[in-house]
Amino acid sequence: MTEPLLSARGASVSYSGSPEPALRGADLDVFAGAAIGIVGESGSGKTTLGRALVGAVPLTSGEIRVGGRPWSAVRRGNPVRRSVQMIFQDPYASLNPMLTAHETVAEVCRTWDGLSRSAASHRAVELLQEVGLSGHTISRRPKQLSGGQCQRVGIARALACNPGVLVADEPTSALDASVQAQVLNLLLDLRESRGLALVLISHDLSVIEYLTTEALVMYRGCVVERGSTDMLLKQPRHPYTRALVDSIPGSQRSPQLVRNAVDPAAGCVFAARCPDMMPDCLANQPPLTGTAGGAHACLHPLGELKLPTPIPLRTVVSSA
Amino acid sequence: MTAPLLADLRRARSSALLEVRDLSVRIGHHDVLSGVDLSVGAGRCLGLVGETGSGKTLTCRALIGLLPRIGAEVMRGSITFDGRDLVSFRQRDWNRLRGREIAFVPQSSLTGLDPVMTVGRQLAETIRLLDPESEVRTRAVELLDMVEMPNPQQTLTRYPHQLSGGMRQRAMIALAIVGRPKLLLADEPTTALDVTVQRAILELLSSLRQATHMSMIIVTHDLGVVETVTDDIAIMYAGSTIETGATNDVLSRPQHPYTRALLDARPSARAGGARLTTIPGQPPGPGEWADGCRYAPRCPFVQDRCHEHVPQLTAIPDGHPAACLRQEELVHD
Ligand SMILES: Nc1ncnc2c1ncn2[C@@H]1O[C@H](COP(=O)(O)OP(=O)(O)OP(=O)(O)O)[C@@H](O)[C@H]1O
Ligand SMILES: Nc1ncnc2c1ncn2[C@@H]1O[C@H](COP(=O)(O)OP(=O)(O)OP(=O)(O)O)[C@@H](O)[C@H]1O
Ligand code: SF4
Ligand SMILES: [Mg+2]
Ligand SMILES: [Mg+2]
Repeated sequence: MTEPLLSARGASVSYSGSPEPALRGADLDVFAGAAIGIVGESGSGKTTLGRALVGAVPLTSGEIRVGGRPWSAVRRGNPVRRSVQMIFQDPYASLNPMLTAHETVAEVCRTWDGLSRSAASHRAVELLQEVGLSGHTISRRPKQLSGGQCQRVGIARALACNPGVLVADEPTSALDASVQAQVLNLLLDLRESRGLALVLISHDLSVIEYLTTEALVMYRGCVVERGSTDMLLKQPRHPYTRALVDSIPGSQRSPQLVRNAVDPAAGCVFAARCPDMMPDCLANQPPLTGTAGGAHACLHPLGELKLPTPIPLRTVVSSA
Repeated sequence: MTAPLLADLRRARSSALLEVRDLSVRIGHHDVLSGVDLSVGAGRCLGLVGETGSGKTLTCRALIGLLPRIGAEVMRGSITFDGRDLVSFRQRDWNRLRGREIAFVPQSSLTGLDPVMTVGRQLAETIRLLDPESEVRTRAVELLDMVEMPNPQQTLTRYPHQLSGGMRQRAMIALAIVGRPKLLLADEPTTALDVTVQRAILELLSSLRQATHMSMIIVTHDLGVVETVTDDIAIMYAGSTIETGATNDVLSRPQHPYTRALLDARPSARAGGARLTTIPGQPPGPGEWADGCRYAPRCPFVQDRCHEHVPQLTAIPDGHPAACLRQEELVHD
């Protein structure tokens, strides 16, 4: 069997000063050509997991291997670093305010690809064009660009490295539907033509549905459900995943979230908000159980939860 | 147009809290906005939607007096808010208005918060301007609770970089509603939020709107959000508003070719298994606007005359205002 490009085992992260860990024991294998979605509550550790995958945040326990080696053993200039790229969630904050869009991308082409100044400049123009930026716009600095323009500079910069794995943290949140379509199609093309592996963090479930084949659902640092994207969205099993799917604007069911008066630190991470909570749930965090095809971390055995009848996802705008 | 309709229109106009007419804004040598028209009724919610880079954020900045900071100035047009002409406002007038009557939730929540101050201090500084000192802390916690911030007490002691993207966004919203404004401008207020929190925040904003009769402009790319929370919609392309009207109307019967293409590009509009539909070419940036319709180079319906005249936002019978020379033909096909 082929080796995964990236593999996480029991990856955990605690930030200093935070009362609870941001990431608790995540397992994940990223193979060439994979398309993995990460969805979940705001603050549940999606960005933390993404940053851990690219080696940008140290683990408190567990391990993440890149090309078979733990991140801690990968030196600064090692080319393996450039093969794993991240598109950051905050488009403004992740760009150098002093550089124009064009300079930002050209700099990467020069340092990583060893291109000459003019070749790098030419390549940068091409890459920016692919994400829909050209003309005057590319000679502006971040402060002079719109949110969606900055976001695309970040995408072009990541693609300039020719990565094998791309962790994209909300890459199209600031883009209108038509530019979003252009960027998503580009990512899909890269995956099909070069086997680019994608880890896509997004709160937009229709984007996750379009781009990914498998997905993880996170809640308070834990992966609470995983499986094929299709199944996850059509037949969510974990009570949180169900609430998530039912929260899509236009969904016909209303999301079931309650406030249980329980100690949020005890037992299952979702106990305090779960409509299906039982006393046993307060003992321990249930482990992810299931098969390779799908698993969820809930004490209710599959089948005993009142599974909703599947409804089609495409209900967002009820128009022509 | 029949007489009763006209009367309705006048009534709707006179009750508008905000009225923007033919607004043009310039930075350096280039117009960045040209021909922005919109109005927001008291207690209503307008969705400002459109191409990235079309001028939505700049429009918000114009409404809150933040243009001078980026070297931009109003060249033409009017902004009337609650009977006052905002174009003639000076710094002193803005200081009195901003935060109290019109509040702004900026697009990037990291740049909107002061990185070296805890969330608690930033809230306190604003609350202090409006409420007695003894209530500052309770009110800060109350505000964070309202925006569904987990652990409000503890969040007060955190710095912005210690919060997740969605938590920063909620802190920004809390900061904006401190002064109980009449008009809230929210530039992409829920982009970094998961759908459950997004739904909660939008419900919160709606209930605030009902309780305090607050009006709102939401800038968003999320057409699902637009459909659920807004009453009216204004679509922008290349620095101007190209279609406006009641949300349901515009989404179900788009009259401008750009609006049509935008709706067709949604993942939810795709036929199973197919690629997403895109619009060929790119929008012209500021300084690249040719004569005539700015959508013409990409428009499948373009005719020669489209290159000659800039289409104005015009209402057609049985329709809503759109800026396309061929809208009457297109609406019936
Ligand atoms: N640098 C930091 N220092 C301290 N705590 C942090 C830091 N970064 C994140 N956290 C905390 O870790 C938790 C997880 O944050 P993370 O950014 O991974 O969430 P997320 O799932 O990406 O959320 P969102 O959808 O809102 O972006 C949050 O509780 C956050 O407050
Ligand atoms: N300070 C500035 N100097 C020069 N040009 C600017 C400046 N700020 C914005 N622009 C340009 O003005 C246009 C409109 O920008 P604006 O930020 O209003 O777009 P937007 O509609 O909010 O887009 P997005 O949805 O991507 O946030 C863009 O082409 C942008 O590059
Ligand atoms: S005016 Fe002409 S070019 Fe512009 S949108 Fe209408 S048909 Fe297309
Ligand atoms: Mg995040
Ligand atoms: Mg903007």
